[in-house]
Amino acid sequence: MKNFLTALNDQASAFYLIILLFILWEIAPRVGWVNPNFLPPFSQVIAAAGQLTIYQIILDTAVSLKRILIGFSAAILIAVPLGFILAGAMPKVSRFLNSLMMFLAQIPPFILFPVFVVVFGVGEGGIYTVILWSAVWPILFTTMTGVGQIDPLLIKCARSMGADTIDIFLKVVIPGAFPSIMTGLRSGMTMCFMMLIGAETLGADSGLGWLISNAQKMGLVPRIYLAALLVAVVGLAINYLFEWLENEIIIWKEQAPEL
Amino acid sequence: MHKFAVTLKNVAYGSLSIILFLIFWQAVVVTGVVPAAVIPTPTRVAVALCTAILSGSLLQQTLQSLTNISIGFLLSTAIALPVGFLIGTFYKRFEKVLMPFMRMCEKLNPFALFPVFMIFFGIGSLEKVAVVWWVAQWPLVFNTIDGIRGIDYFLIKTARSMGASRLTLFFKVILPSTVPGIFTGIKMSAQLSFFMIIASEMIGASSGLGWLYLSSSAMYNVPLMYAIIIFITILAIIINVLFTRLERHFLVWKQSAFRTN
Repeated sequence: MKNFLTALNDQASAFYLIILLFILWEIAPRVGWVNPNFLPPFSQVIAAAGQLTIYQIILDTAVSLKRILIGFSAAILIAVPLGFILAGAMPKVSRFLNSLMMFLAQIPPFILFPVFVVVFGVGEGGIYTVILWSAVWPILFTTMTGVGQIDPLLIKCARSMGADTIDIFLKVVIPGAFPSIMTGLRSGMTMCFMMLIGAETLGADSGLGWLISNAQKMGLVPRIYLAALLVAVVGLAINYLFEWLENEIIIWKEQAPEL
Repeated sequence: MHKFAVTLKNVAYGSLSIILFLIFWQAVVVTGVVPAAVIPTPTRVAVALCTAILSGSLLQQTLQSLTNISIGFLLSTAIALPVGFLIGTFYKRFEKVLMPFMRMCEKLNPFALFPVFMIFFGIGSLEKVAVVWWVAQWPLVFNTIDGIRGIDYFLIKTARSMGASRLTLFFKVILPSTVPGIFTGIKMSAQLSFFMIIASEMIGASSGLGWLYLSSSAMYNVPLMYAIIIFITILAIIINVLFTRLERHFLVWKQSAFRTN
């Protein structure tokens, strides 16, 4: 019995602080520690959801998720093959282009958003391009690094056992580069989710970011917090999804020996 | 002398692709493949950049942004480092409770929090400093804790067995062991802060580089927009290079720093 309670306590202790904060959030404005106009009580924030209608919330969340899904998938389809080709088949070209790519990757994607809007049109075009841009670079670079750090001994082994190029690619290169690619996918997703909200704040008429900026313009303070909370929840969910995927798929990764 | 020649050769080789890109850019716009109103030629962008620098407006806004970043960043180091140290060394029990909360704060989308910050702090310098502080804080705390976690206890025991006082222990054993981890955090936080302040100035401000950028886009001064983009990118690269150099300077005794750099 005691063991069970201790284990339960261990698991739940992660959430104690968060629950405490939510309780504080509820109490502080009511008691008057914080101006309730600046920080409405938690219950009021949730009540704003009813006013906003659940339908609208689901719609905006779906729009945001759709944008990120399409943009991110397109980024993977572009960056991963490009990374394989550049790092594997054309190392000289990749070294030549390296400084240019580094420069382009350093441009904060958010800065490029108005430019993308001018080039690709207001609305969906600009947003998709920003998501694409911000996800492509991390994925590309980590793919190239991943291919680069494959043990050449493994490739030689495979070749000496009579594997042809396709076999080597499918059975040595892809699994070898995959952990690095997964890291890149995770950081690419973090970047593009951040950018999504930012871009929607600046120039969109639907989606979670738009919800936040619209609520701000209309001065509906509880709705601002609600939308921020939604963004936080969605972001956390995506993050956990990727962590889970990483743990599930990469079962062949050896633990690096302690240096 | 030979090293200088090698460095020069590397720089020349590296900039070749950028120069080719610029030539390609110029050609594409001049021949009319891309309309000049949408993407101006590099020469016009360069002219706009020089005009902005000479008129002083660019430098003035840059100074404003950099001031805000510096204050926010220093504030977050002043808070995060001691807190990280305390949690890592003395208050390990708190670590289990505080970590999930702090991890959540780190993963929270800063863009979603901009309106909250604007509610509390307005849109002036105070809000910028607050945003930079928030964004820089969490990676710093985590990296400090990680740095402390990596201390080799044998070193501490050895030092103690040689009669080191607590002060000596702190300054000669603990601090040098944690500096690498802290510096990784500092580098990451610096880049993130720069990025966030530009974004924050674009969303709600009346001064600073991001605001200059937004106002130039509102005036449809497209060459100036591109000029500011390039300027901001160069600033970001400078910050990156600066902190990498600093890291290499401080981490002379840490082998893994050489490997990653």
